[in-house]
Amino acid sequence: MAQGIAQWITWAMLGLPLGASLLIRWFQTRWSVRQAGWVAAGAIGSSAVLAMALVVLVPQGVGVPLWHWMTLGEVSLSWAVQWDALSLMMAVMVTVIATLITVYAMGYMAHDIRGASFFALVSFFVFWMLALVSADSLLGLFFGWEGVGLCSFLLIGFWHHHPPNRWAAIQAFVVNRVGDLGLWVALLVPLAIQQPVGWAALSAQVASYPSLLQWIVGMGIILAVCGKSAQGPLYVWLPNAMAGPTPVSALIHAATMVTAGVYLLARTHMMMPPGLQGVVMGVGLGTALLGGVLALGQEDIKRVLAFSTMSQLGLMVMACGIGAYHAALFHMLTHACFKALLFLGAGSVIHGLNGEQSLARMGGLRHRMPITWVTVSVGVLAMMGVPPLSGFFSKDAILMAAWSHSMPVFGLVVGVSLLTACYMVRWWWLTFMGPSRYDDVSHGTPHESPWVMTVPLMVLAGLSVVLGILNAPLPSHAPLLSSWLSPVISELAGHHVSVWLMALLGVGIATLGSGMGWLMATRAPAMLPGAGQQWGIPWILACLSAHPLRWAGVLADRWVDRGLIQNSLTGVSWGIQWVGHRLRGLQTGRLAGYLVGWVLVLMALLGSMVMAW
Amino acid sequence: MNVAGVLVLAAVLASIGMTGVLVRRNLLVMIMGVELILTAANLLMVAAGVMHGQLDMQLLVFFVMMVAAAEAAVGLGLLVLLFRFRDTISTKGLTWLKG
Repeated sequence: MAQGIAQWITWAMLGLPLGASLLIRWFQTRWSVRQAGWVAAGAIGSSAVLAMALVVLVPQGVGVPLWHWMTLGEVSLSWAVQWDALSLMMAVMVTVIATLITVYAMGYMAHDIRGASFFALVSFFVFWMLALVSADSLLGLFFGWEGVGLCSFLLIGFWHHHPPNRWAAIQAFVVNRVGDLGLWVALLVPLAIQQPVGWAALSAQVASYPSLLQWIVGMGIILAVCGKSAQGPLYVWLPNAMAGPTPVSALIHAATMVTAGVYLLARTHMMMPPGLQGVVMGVGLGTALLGGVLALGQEDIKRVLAFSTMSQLGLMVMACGIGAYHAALFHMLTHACFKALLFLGAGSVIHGLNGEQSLARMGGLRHRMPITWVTVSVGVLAMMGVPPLSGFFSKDAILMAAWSHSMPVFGLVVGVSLLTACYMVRWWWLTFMGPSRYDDVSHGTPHESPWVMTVPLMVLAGLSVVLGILNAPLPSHAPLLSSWLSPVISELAGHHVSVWLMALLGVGIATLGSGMGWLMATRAPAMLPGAGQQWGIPWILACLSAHPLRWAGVLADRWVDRGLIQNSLTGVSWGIQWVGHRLRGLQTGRLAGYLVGWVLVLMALLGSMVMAW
Repeated sequence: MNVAGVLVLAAVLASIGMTGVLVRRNLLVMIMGVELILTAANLLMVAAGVMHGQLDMQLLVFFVMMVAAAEAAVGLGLLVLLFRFRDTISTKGLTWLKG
């Protein structure tokens, strides 16, 4: 009964965004941006309602078979969906935020001549993202994983008439491909050994492998996480992905797609060998610190947020590494809200300033854009971890888990939180406060955005305020989100520390960090030299990977393709021509010559007959 | 019957014919050389038939003669054609067979 309903809901939930995307694609030249936007928002919003209906109907989850794909000998491949607390949480988060961002994009893309097709791509993305989070196997997840990667590529390069955008899109795609290779390996190893059905069976199966295979699967998953969630050396694509329209940055590169890596870590937490948990933690922590420091030195309003996203994702990955899955997922949820809010606010500023993105030419916008200013301020406060906003609870959960893990880790997490408050306040001050540095002539008169853009901002600001309740450590009963998630994924990290002490510490960090941020913004806006170029890290990475590969390609072209293959083929052709040229002399056309040849052959034949006889 | 003498005669005839074909440039003489070779072959067959006491070879000679007559007709026809084209029947400088 419940399964039958769940199946219908699942079909509708996945089918609506996909159908909307195809419909808009078909009518994209005839529909206005508003029309396309309403179709997309309607479809995605309906998906959101359906996702919430599923939460109410089957809170403990249900498995739904959707489609049998094929049978290969022993292996039967089918597309089935597993709804449980984890996937339902992701589905609700994705669809709700996507709905708000779609509404917002109606205003943001209003002047774009290709705006309608933008909504087709956004709907398409939502479909793939839902396929990713709902899949009950690594194969299904892989399909979603590739689908969102494709949409990310298409949307980063949405304004492809500008060459750097194309370059950024290709970079994102190629770097993600490295990570996808890891997921592919992690997917094939269990499939090659025995076909598991469902996540629990898969985890149990992988747990029975010899440790080498476990390590291969684990490393594959870590590589996949690094690619999708911009961790470790594979982070380089995320800052450049800001070339896409701002709603895309908010939706794909802050709130949903990039969190797929954290989701994967949580999903496969039983498969990760204990030895690799340390690697996960180290990668996350390193990325969090690097992103936090780099965010301090950025000039571009969106790049600050990109590095901030990278840093926060690092925190979540780190939390997964120390076993604090609930804290990581909770932070993912709150972060999705306030980071989407901050991106949309940045987009509102860019919209109001006619496309200006440099912090150096902003400032003093609070008078011109009051709604944006207030809502973004809420987002900044939430992100800094000011009580009682949502970021306070989620960041404190991570801090507590780190405390229980070890002191060095705790110290570094405190450092990351400090950096967070610092770069957020610097960013906020340079944008909205202080003297105005924009120029009314070249930017037009800065104006507040239309209501389709401000209403989503207000809704997200509201969510950023109240979402902390979901997992707040209330004295009366257990945290809501944690107790919901517990059957699916158990929290391994202990919280052996006073909640009040941590809260006090969180407030202290936020205060200290914001003070530093204010000093940076007012005294030394460009304090970190070279941070804009990320201290050559992308260059070094390119020297280690892309450049050698390209040289190998050039050399292979010069020596193998043109040197060996082409020369040997032309050599054969020349040889045949040479032999032909030589043999052509025999064809004199003179009768006597032919007759002499004939007689000679005849005599040779006769001679051989005589000899044989 | 002196078969050996006939064989020598056939060999001489064939050699003369072959030499004529190879050395001379006059197409008429070359055809005559071919006829001589055929005659040598006929002679050889007759001699062989006598040697083995069989009539088959004598019979075969008539066929060869027939073929030789046909060959002469075709050859002379070609010769006439060649003369029409080149106003000579010498094969000197004749390289039409060259592709």
